[in-house]
Amino acid sequence: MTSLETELKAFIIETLNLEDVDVNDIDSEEALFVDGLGLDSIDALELGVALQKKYDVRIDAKDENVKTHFASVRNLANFIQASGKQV
Amino acid sequence: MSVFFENLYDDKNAQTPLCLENGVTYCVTDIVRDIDHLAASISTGQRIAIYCQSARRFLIALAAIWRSGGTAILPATDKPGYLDEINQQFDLYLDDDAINARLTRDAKVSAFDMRLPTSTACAAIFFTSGSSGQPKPVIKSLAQIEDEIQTQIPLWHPIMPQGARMIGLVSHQHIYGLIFRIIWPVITKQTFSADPTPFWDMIIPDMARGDVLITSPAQLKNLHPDLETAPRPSLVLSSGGPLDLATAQEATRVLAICPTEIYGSTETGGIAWRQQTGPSSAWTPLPGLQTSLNDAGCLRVCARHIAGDDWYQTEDRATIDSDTGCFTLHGRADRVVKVEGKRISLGAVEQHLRQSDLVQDAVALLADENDRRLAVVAVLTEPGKDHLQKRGPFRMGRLLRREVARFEDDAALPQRWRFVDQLPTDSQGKRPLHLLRALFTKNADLGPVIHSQTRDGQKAILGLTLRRDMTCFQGHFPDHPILPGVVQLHWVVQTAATLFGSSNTVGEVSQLKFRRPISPEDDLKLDLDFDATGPKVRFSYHSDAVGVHSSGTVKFRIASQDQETAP
Repeated sequence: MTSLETELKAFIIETLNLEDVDVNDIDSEEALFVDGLGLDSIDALELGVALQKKYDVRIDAKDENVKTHFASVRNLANFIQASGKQV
Repeated sequence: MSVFFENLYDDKNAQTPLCLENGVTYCVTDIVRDIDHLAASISTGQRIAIYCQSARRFLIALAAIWRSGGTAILPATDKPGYLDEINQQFDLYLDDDAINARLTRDAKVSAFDMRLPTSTACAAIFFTSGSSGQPKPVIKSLAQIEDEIQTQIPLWHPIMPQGARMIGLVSHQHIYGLIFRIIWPVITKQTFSADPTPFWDMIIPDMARGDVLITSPAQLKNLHPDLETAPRPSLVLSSGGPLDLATAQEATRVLAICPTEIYGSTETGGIAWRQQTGPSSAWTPLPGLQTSLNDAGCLRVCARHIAGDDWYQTEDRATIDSDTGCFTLHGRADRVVKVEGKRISLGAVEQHLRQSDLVQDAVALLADENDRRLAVVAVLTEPGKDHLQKRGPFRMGRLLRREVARFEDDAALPQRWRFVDQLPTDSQGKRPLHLLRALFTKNADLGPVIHSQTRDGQKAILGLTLRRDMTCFQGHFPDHPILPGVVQLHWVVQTAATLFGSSNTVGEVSQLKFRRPISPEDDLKLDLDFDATGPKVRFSYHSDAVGVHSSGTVKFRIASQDQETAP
């Protein structure tokens, strides 16, 4: 598990105000939406805005790859790394 | 015409026992003497608020007010802040002491109109919590109350054996208690209990075979073990909120009779009744009551005692069985919150959750005005508890979220979850938002988690939920967690402030005794007895298994004393 993955997990927990859960409870490969972590479209909206602010990544809702980027913590970490602007 | 007044003033009934208080039996003639005495001491046509601990004095005051051509105002509590809110609505306030004082003074009894008032001329005003949070007045005439009782007599009176007593565990300040504890016994010439007895252990020693118990879900959810061997009641009434099936079945086992639930409201009085003998929980309308649904699927009712020939629109969603006329309720339609601009029915979310095999009962809410997502307090079934054990609260909440997602848009999916053994209730069996919200406050861990609350005036009994992982159990003895004395005192001060509006500043603690330690496994109850003249509160922590754990008296400092001691 990379440090960015751990950081993202903490970021998701904090941004969405998830309770009774810490970074060790989230698997890097588990689905973020529907199954797995069970996030929904409203969470996605909040998370998207927060990610843009913190990591300066542009998330284009029309981009067909968005679904893939948001599929798991691992994919999200890869996406942020690839966009090359993370701190 | 009023059967209520005619029965009271009929010489044939003079020696009929009417009420039982503190071991003394009062006959109709005793009560009527006091009614006339009190009526002679008050000027005609006033709006008079009554708040009594004694149901006997309440009856005397109520009848005296009507006898003197006045209107009775029935506040839901005697908390000073509440009375201030409604003080524009009354000219005079009578409590037990004020009534006693007037009854011991001499009065010229012959000085007023000897004709009995008609039932349409007598009115009582109740207050319900309106949607704005302000107490909303609801006017009932004695005629409506008598009509409702005449409707219910054929249902319940034949079940009661000759001489069956009406034993009240709910307050007579509310419509349900007023009807069954006060007016019904006068009309049917039965004896009623006048002592304030909200707790089972107060009535069990005096219970007699065939008694009628007038209860609320709060009491039926907290049955006393001695009830299993107590004399059997002939009828157990419950109103104020629906019973869940498990509670109804447990009450049936313990009391050897299935509780009869009455559905209604302050505005309508009784609407329908049911006995939950199985999972089909349909309500049977009271005789002669008509039902229909509006476009939004909410129940409309029409009966003489509600609005005469007019229909009354409730905000309870229902479906009506066209063959039997019985109906099933699906929660209140007005419990709607907005999430992300979408209107979400809390009742619908709760219903989806209850359909899950993992959930026994659930309440959805916004835990904080500023929260953007729903929260849920849920009681799990045994399989649900197994899941919780294996997965932990976060994954459990996520799992149940998916149950809701099968029916609802994303905006309705709850984000915050609390899993409890019992939903918090107050003495009316209702679930006040503040008790539910307390489960979500950040420092909930430092305060007591209250799962039940029975309140009568300045006394309260709170059922507390303890968990081994609470902060207050950490530290001391790793293998034998106990609740520290300072936390016990803190909880007393905190809950007394919430319930009785007492100060948070402690002046003095006396008679403090820690008899037995409190461990997380204890089924802990906290008794509070507030005395505004101290101001002080007597407390005791106790459990059925152990008895008294600790007790004492906390005296509060009032503001002026603070100033005197300030440098």
